[in-house]
Amino acid sequence: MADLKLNGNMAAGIPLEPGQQDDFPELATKLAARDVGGIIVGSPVYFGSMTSLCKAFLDRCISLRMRHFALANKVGGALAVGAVRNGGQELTLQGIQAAMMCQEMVVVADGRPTAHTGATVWNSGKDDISQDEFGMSTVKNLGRRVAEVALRMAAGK
Amino acid sequence: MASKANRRKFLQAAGLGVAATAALQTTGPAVSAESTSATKRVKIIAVSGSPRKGKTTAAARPRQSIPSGSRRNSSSWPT
Repeated sequence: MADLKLNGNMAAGIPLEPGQQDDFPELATKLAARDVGGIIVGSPVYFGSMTSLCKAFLDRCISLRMRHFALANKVGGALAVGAVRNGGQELTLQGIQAAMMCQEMVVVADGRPTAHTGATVWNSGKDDISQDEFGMSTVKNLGRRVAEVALRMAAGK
Repeated sequence: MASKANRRKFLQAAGLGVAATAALQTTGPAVSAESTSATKRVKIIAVSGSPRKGKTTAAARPRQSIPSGSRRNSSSWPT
């Protein structure tokens, strides 16, 4: 979403100005599509929480909630990248997951064997997260878990 | 509070536990995404909340070495 303009103020009941547009409608169409079974939202950790861009996106999703909960029953997973090992990744995940629950999404964490709160990654500043073996395993387990549950739900199980 | 459960009630409760365990076992292990992909297709969308495109924030920020003994909450310390 780095290039997108998103106006999170709509969550406060402040509508867009007449003639004003942001980039959310195109994104919303993709997210709410019927064949989308799962959504993974990732964010760097800034001061112990998600980025303002990520929060604006989640706040802007209020229009999907108002549209008969268009994200309901889609599987949601969260990923956080922090600059230090215990740099607020879990708090960031919880913030994202709370927003997902407000959309009636089905929140899952990273699956077994790590199976905790979601994908927690550490980027020590070398721009190479592949060195974070544990973090990368949580990423893989999150992706697999989201897919597993999405498939189960699609199959009506 | 003292428990009033006698041996009979305890065994009944244990039996329920066994039944619940058996019911869980009949549902089988977790469904593998690979094993069920032939039956149904779903899309998974990933959304990145990073304001930097193609480069992580930590890597984009000029790094300064932190001298030993310095306070960690200095402005150069990552957030």
